[in-house]
Amino acid sequence: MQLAWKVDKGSKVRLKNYDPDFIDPYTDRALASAELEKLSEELGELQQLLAAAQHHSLLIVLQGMDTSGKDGTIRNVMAQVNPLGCEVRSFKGPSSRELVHDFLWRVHRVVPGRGMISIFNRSHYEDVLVVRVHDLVPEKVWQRRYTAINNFEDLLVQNDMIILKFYLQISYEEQEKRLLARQEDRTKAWKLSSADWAERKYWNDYQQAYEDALSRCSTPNAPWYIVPANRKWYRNLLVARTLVSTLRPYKKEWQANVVKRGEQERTRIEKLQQAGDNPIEARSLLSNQGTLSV
Amino acid sequence: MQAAWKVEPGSNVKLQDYDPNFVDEHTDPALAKAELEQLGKELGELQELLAAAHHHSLLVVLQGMDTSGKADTIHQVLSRVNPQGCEVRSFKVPTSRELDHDFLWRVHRVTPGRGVFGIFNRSHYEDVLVVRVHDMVRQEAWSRRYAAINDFERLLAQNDMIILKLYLHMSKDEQESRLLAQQKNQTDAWKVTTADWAERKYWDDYQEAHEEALSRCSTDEAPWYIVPANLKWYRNLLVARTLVYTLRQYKDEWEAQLVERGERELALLAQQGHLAQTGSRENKRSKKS
Repeated sequence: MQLAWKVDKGSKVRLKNYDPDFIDPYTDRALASAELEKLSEELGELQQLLAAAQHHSLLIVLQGMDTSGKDGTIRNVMAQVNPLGCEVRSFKGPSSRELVHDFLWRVHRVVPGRGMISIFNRSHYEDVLVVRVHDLVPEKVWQRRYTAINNFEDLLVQNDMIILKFYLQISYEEQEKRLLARQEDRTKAWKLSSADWAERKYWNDYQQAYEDALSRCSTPNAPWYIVPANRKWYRNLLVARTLVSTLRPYKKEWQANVVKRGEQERTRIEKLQQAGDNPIEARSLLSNQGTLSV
Repeated sequence: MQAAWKVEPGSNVKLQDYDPNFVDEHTDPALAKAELEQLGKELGELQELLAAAHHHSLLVVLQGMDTSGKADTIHQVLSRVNPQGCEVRSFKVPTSRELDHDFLWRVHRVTPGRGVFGIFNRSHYEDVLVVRVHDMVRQEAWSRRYAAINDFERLLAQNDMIILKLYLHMSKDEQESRLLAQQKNQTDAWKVTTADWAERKYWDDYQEAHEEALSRCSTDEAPWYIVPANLKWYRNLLVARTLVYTLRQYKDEWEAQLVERGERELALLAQQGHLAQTGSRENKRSKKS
């Protein structure tokens, strides 16, 4: 089954080699909606297992030019996921409180803990994208951020975080169409800002910045995926397929974890019941419930 | 003047080579008090400059065995620093929420921002100390943490954080006499727990773990210092000296930044035509006070 295009570590990405209109020959639009429905249902089940197993966490990074459909992807793909276990974080221009810290500070605070899914709508990659395109910091500073990002993502992965990074690729013409459509549609006009047209002038700079980020920060455990995104329905389908096929291999392990956790709790409860008339022992059993103690 | 012993990057620390009773020959307890007073005052001034310049931040990491005097050092050395610009963070056993994350998560959240002094009473180094000594995670997990710590501290340093890490070095005998003294003293007895005596059994393991942390994580941008700490008055003095000597080097830069910031603000005000008005109002106020 066709997934989003994975960027292999060390490869040199040229975005013009990836067709934003691409559709694989085995998929057609009529079948896509049923498939997406099925996939997002499976995603919901996988999320429940991830939450119950309480071992891995999942981080999904969404990047793309304005109008590439980051919000739409979240809405359509994550529709069946329990919001209790899923946080969406949007990264806007940093606040003054955030700016007194290193660029990863505000990101690290909101990474998902074990059992949780976080979706980053934009991310720390903005610090090598918009920041680079608009010279918001000297080149020397943004240049060393690629390494800092790789180190940071390594740390997260070592702590059992599953990381997927999606770049939603639309064409320059498609963006224009979408901006115009928003202007014409009164119910969509609120999404517009004059900044969209201004940013569009930097299209080539952004493409170049994306190529660098995708090339330098795709690692086996935190890979970048390029998603052809001119067609919304195919974009959603590919993101869903990529997510599900990444998570599926963990299913057995999570099920086993869940069973093991259940057994541990049951033993603890039995001990507690036996100690019922001994309050001191009962208390010490209860206080031992934490994972670690120093 | 003698400061704490800096651990050169890449060196192999053997703690037995460092005398916890050391006192340099130019210092005696009688003079030390006046000097500490003087240094504490200078530290207060430097902190005000750092806060106003709003460019660097300072992180002081304090590590040491139980009773080595981490809390007391903070009290004695930093008492002249404006508490508004100084945050002390103590790292205890991680909560269950903290345990859901990587070991640096809870630390990164509380690092000081520009213009702020941050003091860590214990720190992320506990994750290669107590955690290693008591096998709380597999060796594979703790042994890769040294590199993670170095990467993390480099990120902070690149963001203009001045980092100093101080290991308060005390002998095993000294620890025993401190624990016994605390137990005897009614007002100090609450400080001693059975855990303190239990942990003492792991003394050698802790020394080895400290040696490795000091050897592997002392870098140019975030050096470790070893402080002889059997004598409390000398420990305080060396910590104060080390802090002041490090920060003094930035003084000119901070003063220049302040002037520059002031000029920028004045220019902005002039541009908006507020300058004359505001100026006269300021004058009135200052006359009143």
